[in-house]
Amino acid sequence: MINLIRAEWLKLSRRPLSWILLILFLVLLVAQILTQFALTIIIPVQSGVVNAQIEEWRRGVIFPGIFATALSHVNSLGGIFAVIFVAGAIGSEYSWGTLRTQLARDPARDRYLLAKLTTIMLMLTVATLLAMLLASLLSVILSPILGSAISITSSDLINLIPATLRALYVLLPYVLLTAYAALLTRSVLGGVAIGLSYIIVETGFGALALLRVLGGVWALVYNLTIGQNINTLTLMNRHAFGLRPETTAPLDLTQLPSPLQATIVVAVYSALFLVFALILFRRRDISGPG
Amino acid sequence: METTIRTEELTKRFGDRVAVDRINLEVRSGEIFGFLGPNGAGKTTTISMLLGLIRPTSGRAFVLGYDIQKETAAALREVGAMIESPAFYPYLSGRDNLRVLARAAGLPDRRVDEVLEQVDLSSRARDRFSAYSQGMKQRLGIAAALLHRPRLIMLDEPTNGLDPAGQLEIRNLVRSLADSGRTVFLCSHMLHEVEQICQRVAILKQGRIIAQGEVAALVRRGVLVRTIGERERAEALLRATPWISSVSDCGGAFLIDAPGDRTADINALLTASGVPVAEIRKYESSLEEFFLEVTAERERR
Repeated sequence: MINLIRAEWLKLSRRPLSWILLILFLVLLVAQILTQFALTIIIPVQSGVVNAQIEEWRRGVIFPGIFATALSHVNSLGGIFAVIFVAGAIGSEYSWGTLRTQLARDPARDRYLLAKLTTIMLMLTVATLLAMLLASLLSVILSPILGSAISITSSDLINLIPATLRALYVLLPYVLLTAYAALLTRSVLGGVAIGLSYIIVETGFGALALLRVLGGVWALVYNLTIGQNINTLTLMNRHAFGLRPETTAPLDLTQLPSPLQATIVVAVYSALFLVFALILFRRRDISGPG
Repeated sequence: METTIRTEELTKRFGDRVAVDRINLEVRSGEIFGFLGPNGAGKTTTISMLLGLIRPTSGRAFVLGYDIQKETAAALREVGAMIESPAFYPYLSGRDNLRVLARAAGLPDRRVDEVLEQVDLSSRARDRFSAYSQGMKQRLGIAAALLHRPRLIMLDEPTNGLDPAGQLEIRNLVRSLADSGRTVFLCSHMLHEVEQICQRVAILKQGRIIAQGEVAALVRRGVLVRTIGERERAEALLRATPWISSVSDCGGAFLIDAPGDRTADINALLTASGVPVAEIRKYESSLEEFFLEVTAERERR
């Protein structure tokens, strides 16, 4: 397994797509932080919600809120980049015919797929850590301009570990859904289309949120969607570093699933997508490039 | 002699289409075995089944004594293969592509350099695969197949896209592999190539094996006689001659199983009976002619 992970790492770390996605992801993070910083300075002090929003942006630029901003970026735009990265990593093996080259030497398909997914998650971990580092550096530069001291407590540092793991855990079902979709369609495009479609339907259009309005069993169904449970986990990350999004957005915390439920539901979805992917990959014939 | 590959009624269907139809193959250790057939005959599907990439619909296959469906990993441990056109990561160099395979197999980078040297690709090893010529891609595919020092090497159309010099180079390489005790299973539609290097062949057409055996036994030898008209009378005369053991059709002429030094006697026999002879000579058919003949025969049936 370690050998396979080393092989996957070599493949993915040398791939231009990996670097393009990483650079874009980091550039957009910088843009987000600079935008928050600029808005904090430009918009004059007002009362009510606007003021609360400005204060929330300010807290998101300085320590320890900057960690929440970086992790929030991982779980929002990062999810889209992760989908493209995963679909590329799996779908290209079909289009280039390289899957056949690999499996003709080592036929353990489960091990191959698990090694690939492990490598993908390791690379997403590296991208997340780089995002945190870059965001921290920016915060060091911007905090004095905002009149804030650079202060990180030991509890902030301790919080970083579970928060980072939580952010990666939030990406997991999307990674596995995309992996399954790329295997199912044997293509990059199929993986990207299905992975992104799910994210867009769930968050972009808020289509599934309409279920909550219907109440009863529909509300229960909505409470079991990936997005709703992920909201709980991402909110935990924001709270861990002093951000309070509920003060600036119409967010009813009582409607959110409990952290325990959120953890279990995300685990169940991830396990289902993984099992589907493994079964499909084990049973399918491996043909030539196409 | 030990058997390296054996199939029993191996069959693969894709929906209603039968890609491989109850084939029984036997490849012996240390030989170069030619697996012939036109494009679409089922060669790649067969090789894919032998590598555990495609599951047979029915039948069994044994590679190096292992049942390929039940003991795939054990069977493939000593098999190197290149299937169809060599498939590698276009953005990686030839060397890095082999390093990926070597890492997965737990082999050191030193081995990568050795096989690159073996296929004469060391000087271009650091160039991107996407910049390789077809010949270089083929050689990299062979290098990948040799990486873990396999006992059995399966090569699917290894000289595709190569110029004559490149083809010769690959043929020599295949011969040297066999000389070092390895078994080579060579899929090809280039019959002259197979005839030059293989000891035994199987011919596949529309998923079925239509001939299998020693190359020497499949090519035809004898005396070729072409007459000007009078075919029926000529045939009757030839069949009635005691030292002619068989008479068969060969592209409108007669192929006679008779000693090559009796061409003058055959000529005398026919002309004395008033059958004009247009051509008479010793004949040895190529594998290509044999192939065309058996495939045409199949179609007639």
